[in-house]
Amino acid sequence: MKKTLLFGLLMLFMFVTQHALAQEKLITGNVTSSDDGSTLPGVSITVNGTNQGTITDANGQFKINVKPGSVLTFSFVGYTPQNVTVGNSSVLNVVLISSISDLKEIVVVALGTEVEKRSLGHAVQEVKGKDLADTQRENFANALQGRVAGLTVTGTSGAPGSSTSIMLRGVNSLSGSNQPLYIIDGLPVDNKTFNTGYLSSDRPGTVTGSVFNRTNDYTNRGADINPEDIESITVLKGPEAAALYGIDAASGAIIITTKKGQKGRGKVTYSNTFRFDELYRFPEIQTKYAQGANGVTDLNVRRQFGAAYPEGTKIYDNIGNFFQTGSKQNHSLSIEGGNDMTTYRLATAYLTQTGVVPTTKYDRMNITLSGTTKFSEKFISEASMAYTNSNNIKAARGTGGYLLGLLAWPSSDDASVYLTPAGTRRRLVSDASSDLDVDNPFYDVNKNKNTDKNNRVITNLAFKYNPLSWLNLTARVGLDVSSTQGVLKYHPESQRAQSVGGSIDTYVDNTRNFNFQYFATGKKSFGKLHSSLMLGSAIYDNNYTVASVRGEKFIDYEFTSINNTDLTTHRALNNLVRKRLVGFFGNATLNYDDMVYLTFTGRNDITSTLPKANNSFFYPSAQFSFIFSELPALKNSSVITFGKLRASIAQVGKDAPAYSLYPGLENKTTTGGGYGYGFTGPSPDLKPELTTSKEIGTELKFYRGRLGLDVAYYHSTSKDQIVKDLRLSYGTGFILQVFNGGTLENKGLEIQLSGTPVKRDNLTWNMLVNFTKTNSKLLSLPQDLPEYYVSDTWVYQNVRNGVKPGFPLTTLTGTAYSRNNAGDILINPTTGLPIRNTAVFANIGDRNPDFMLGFSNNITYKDFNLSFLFDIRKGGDVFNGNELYMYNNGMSINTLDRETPRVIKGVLRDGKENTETPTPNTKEIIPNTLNDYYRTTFIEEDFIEKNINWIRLKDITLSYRIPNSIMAKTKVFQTASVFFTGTDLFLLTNYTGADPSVNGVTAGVGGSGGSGIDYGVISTPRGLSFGVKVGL
Amino acid sequence: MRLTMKKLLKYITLGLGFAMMVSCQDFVDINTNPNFPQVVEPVVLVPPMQAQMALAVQFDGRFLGKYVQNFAHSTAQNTWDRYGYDPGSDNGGQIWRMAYWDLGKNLSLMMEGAEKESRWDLLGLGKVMRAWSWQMTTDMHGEMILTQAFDQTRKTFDYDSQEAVYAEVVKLANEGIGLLAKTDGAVSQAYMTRGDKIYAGDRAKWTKFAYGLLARNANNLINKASYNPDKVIEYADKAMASINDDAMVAFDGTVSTNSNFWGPSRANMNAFRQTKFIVGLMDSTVFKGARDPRISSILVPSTDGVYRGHTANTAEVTAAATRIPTPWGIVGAPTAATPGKYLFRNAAPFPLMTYAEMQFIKAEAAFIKGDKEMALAAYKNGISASIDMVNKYTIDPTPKIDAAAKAAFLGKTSVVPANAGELTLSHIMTQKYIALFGFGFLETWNDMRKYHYDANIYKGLTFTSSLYPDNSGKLAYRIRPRYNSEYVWNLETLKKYGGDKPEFHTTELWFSQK
Repeated sequence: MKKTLLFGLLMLFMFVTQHALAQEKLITGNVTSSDDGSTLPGVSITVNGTNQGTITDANGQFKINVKPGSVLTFSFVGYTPQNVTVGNSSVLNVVLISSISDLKEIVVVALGTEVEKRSLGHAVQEVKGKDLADTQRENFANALQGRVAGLTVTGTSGAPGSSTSIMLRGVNSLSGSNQPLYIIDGLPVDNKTFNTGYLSSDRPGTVTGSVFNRTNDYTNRGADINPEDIESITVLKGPEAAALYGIDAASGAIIITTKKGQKGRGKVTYSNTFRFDELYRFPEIQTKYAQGANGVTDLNVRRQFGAAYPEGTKIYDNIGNFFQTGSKQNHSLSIEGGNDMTTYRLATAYLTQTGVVPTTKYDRMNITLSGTTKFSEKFISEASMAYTNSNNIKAARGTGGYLLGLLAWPSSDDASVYLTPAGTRRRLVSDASSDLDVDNPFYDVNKNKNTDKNNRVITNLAFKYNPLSWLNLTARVGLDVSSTQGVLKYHPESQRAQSVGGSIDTYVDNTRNFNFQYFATGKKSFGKLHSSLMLGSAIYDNNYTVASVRGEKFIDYEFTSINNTDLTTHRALNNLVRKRLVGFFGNATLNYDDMVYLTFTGRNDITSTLPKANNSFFYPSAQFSFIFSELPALKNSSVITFGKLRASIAQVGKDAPAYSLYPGLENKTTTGGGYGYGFTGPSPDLKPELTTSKEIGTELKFYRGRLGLDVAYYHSTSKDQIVKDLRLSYGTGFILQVFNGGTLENKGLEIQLSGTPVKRDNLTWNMLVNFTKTNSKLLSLPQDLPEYYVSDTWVYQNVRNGVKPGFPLTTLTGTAYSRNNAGDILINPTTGLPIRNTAVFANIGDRNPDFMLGFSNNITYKDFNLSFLFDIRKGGDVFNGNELYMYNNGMSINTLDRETPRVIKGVLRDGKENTETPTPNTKEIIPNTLNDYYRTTFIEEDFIEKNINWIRLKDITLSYRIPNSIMAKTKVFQTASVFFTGTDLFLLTNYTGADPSVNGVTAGVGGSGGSGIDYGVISTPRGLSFGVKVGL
Repeated sequence: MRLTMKKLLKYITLGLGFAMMVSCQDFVDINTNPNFPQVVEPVVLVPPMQAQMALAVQFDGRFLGKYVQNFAHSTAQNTWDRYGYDPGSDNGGQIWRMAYWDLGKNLSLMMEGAEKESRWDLLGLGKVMRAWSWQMTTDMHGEMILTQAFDQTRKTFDYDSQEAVYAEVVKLANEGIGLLAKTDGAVSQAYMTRGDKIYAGDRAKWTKFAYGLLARNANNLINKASYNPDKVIEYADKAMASINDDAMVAFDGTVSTNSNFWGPSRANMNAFRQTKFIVGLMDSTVFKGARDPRISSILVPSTDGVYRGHTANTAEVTAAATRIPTPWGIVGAPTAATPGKYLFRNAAPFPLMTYAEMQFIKAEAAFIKGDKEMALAAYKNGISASIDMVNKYTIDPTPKIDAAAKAAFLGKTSVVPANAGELTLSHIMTQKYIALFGFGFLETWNDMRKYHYDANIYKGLTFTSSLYPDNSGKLAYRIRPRYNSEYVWNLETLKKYGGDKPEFHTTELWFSQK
């Protein structure tokens, strides 16, 4: 009976199948590109109304069984999807139109919805997620350098998990963040870098006082994003982004669209990467002179101003011995599928990286699930959830960090022996003096523990409802929740904490950002005039807490936990920072005949951080776009295929840091406790700062996109800047204050030139040049203050990112020579040494480059693809702090001529220096016996390296797609490719230090930050990676 | 067009949101800092201020201690050993910060609260603390912000002359004395003691402190025609009457933030060495035949048991037997197990003003007046009080000075002359120097500047031949006002006094001039 039933069912099944097959027929064909007629492999083909589908093979060929009359959708990244109805023929050849030449190109800018790029009155640039992922960089922000005009990326160092900042169109805020807002699928996400001022032991006013920002680094949270999840990035460069996303987007927005599942046949993709990193650029140290002072060797002195090493002294390569080959492996697996109603995508990635600095490590795991459901033709929902777990083991940098420790280590001593036979810290000098005894770099990285562990979930839920053909309602709600646990342990024997028996700082920070926005869009046409109106509202509720504890006196020396410290030493600090914002916005667009577009936006934000009287403010924008190629005279031009003129004007406000109005009394940690004012005085009358930006530009395409040009010129002014941490005369009773005041302007030119120099059957070469030029100027400071600087950037000697009215915001200020009226250097008649001007920080450098160029290329030959990106910078000054450190301590090769007598050119300050006949200096000095020359009367101005240029091969990738003929034999895989990628392979520069593209502080520091300050951080390593990618 | 459109859009958006606006304002009303209070009882503002009164002196003592040669750096070329300064640095600016920020508005807030609640004792304490902070600041820096201080409408400030500051100190101290005498209102030692970590709310002792301040103020002016030794003697007599009246700031010493700045856990003295000068004053080099019994309490011997002093601006001797230890009595960096010594301990209190100092002030004034008998008696009292104070803060294993040793020392005629006529200013000033060793840096520097670093008075005092390059051969007479406060905002004011000149720190202050 059972058998009969089974047989019957089988027969029925075969009948049904055969019946179905009988109705379907095999369609074959190929898919080619409209650009050059080349075949397109990997094109997704789905049968509408079913979950059936396939993809084209490596030769662009496809086969599929379908019923006649079915509608096939052909889609491929970079091309406009095309629907084709199956007719009688069994051969179907399709030409897909590249979206580069598509005149209806769309971009994602507005709150997660798409708009026609041609309607925009401001510059917008897109980067494909694939281009970023192909660089194999852990932090996608590092891959953006050179790919977008007007965008500057500053990495903090070459260490794993280091923070990276992005700046669009230069410095627009003196003290606040100049970083753009990160948006994922329409909602803001957190990209902060932890600020150590929240730590119990490092808060302002304590013994250390935010020094950890200089000596430690924390990953910027944007690095949590898995680059493999990014479908594309749209960069909104100016304040027009704020019209849509509110005041947090005043410095532009990085709008990320994530990959979504495609309907059709399910796809599984696996890829891996293996990379090796090597540090190859170091500051050069002298190996001739021993420790000592004034030419006399003294092994109890750490500085190397002693006599020359005796003949036969063994010289160790401590720097070479210290650094190791870094490695990384990355595995990504994604599964996607779906039908007309529902699609989903699940992606996982695991990355583990060891740095070039021993013990450093960065691990990250990503799990992303996203889905789309169509409840009806009118009602769609999208949902995604992204989980990230990251783990970073770091080494301290800057003062006391491993790099300076290495540079200062005498070559006659083997630094790698960092423990005594008894297992305790081996000291270089027996002297107890704190300025001489520093941790051996090997000891530092092995014994002092510095870790962060992060867990994060970002959710995003959207509902889209189209009740009427002309009306669309959208609502999005998202939660961005993360928790980081950090530990900073200084070993009980470490120089940094031996006097207190070791110290440990632990913190947990919890971020809970709730974002909600909803809007309605209506469209109406009147003949050739099309209009749309969007009205909406957004609520952002940000909640950030940091709980930190410090303990001292370790019980067991090695076990790393606050529980292992003396209970009586525990000191805790809890901080809760809340910020809320409610915004109402509107956007009206008029479109005449797809030729002239006018867009007006208005937004009113109400923020929690400003006083009630000033906390609600309105800011508008207007944009104009004219597609002149639509004019009858040009409409059918074969030369100019697209031409657009655009102009926009936009305003945006900005609010203050939370609790700036009345900072409150702080509990003090000195004996007896009690309360007192903090550094910052009250500012009860703050009002929003206001930026007005104007932009004009053009977009031209020639020969159907073979050549394209996009030019933008902008000018913005900001007034009533909210300047935080402005130093006061203590005569006010306070040290810092948040001020309204100060105006600045910013202008710049951005050019994108794209072209396809070669386009043949088997060979295509695309290139893109991004040119960036920005110029900023501070017009005035509050209260006519002569200079403003961000104190965290004052990392070494007297150089900082100071800015004075009339000068660029990228200025460096520092100590310069005292000069007479004729400009001659003044010399101290007693010593023969130059006299410094120590009363005033003079302008001694400008970090702003003359221009920056990104030059990217993509060459496809048959199944091979080669892409590479050059990052070129011309001009801009860099403070070589490492060199000054080495010079100051006798390790610089520029001190090798110390035995050569010299007379410093200048005039004596003898009262006659400003007369007709100043006395020339004739006093001879020999620096070897007069270390004041290097130690006391050096001038910081001399260590600003001027007009630094560089050419960097940022990324180069060669990939090979395995032909279908081979793949077919595997019977498992549909597609497979292999690739080799080089990362930062070479750097050509006139900079004498290791790497001019570094940051003296973290990305968390505001204003112009610490870019161009090279002190105590390693250069960017070069990496070589390879991997495979397979799909089934 | 644009304006009209702007208005139109504004009305549309505002209209849309109007109904929600009211509730929005409630929704965003979260800008009150939840982490710290905005209002506190006035007395809880006191402990951090008092802690900073000690910490600021110690902080700047790292540099003043070298100017007065209590200490010298273990390596050559230290800026301060060479009577220089650190350009662009806040080094030497902590007393400035204490006066204007740590005390600053906190003291004003405390006094406002005290006045409102009729707490005259607390208000009086506030006046005295303010007077003390002005005195310290002007003695460091000379001209300073006074009449315009804490004016919230100003960002740049004019300075007042040192003479005006001296007068203000007298005024405030007298006001404080008057208030401390009151017993009406809400005067309460029980309340005061919650915050007063120096005298536990004892009004009588604070009154003595105020007189001590007046004594210092008046006695700094020996070079002035207006100098009145009788007034100085009167003030000194009304000041501390025994070592139990010494103004000591307590330290818990459990973690680095509540530890004495000179304690081992703060590790601030790693490179500090006792100088040849202080050793010479105590090892019978200057006071012939009289080895000071305090030497074993306040100074440290090398391994061979000999007390040696380091010569400023030289590299220290590192031979194990003859090496000079740190003031904690150890060679090498301190660890959590280092106990420290005398006032250089994690939990040692720090003296702001002592009975011994008052006796030396009295001795100096009496000597100048010509009353040598009174001078000798006060001088002897001063040494005796200093020995008692040293004993009080000496801990095991350092032995205390017994009565016999004390009597023997006071019996040496090279120290205490048999008759008053043999007493010299050098006796008084060098014994005062010993009595203030390790804490009274600024008072000692005042004295040295009054006498223009006279080696006839400070016997054995020598200077490095290689002074800091900017000095052009001159010694230091002032410290620049705090760099990040004053050189940023008030450079124009500073220029009036030569503050922009490299040699500014060598120009003499008003108080020590004829």
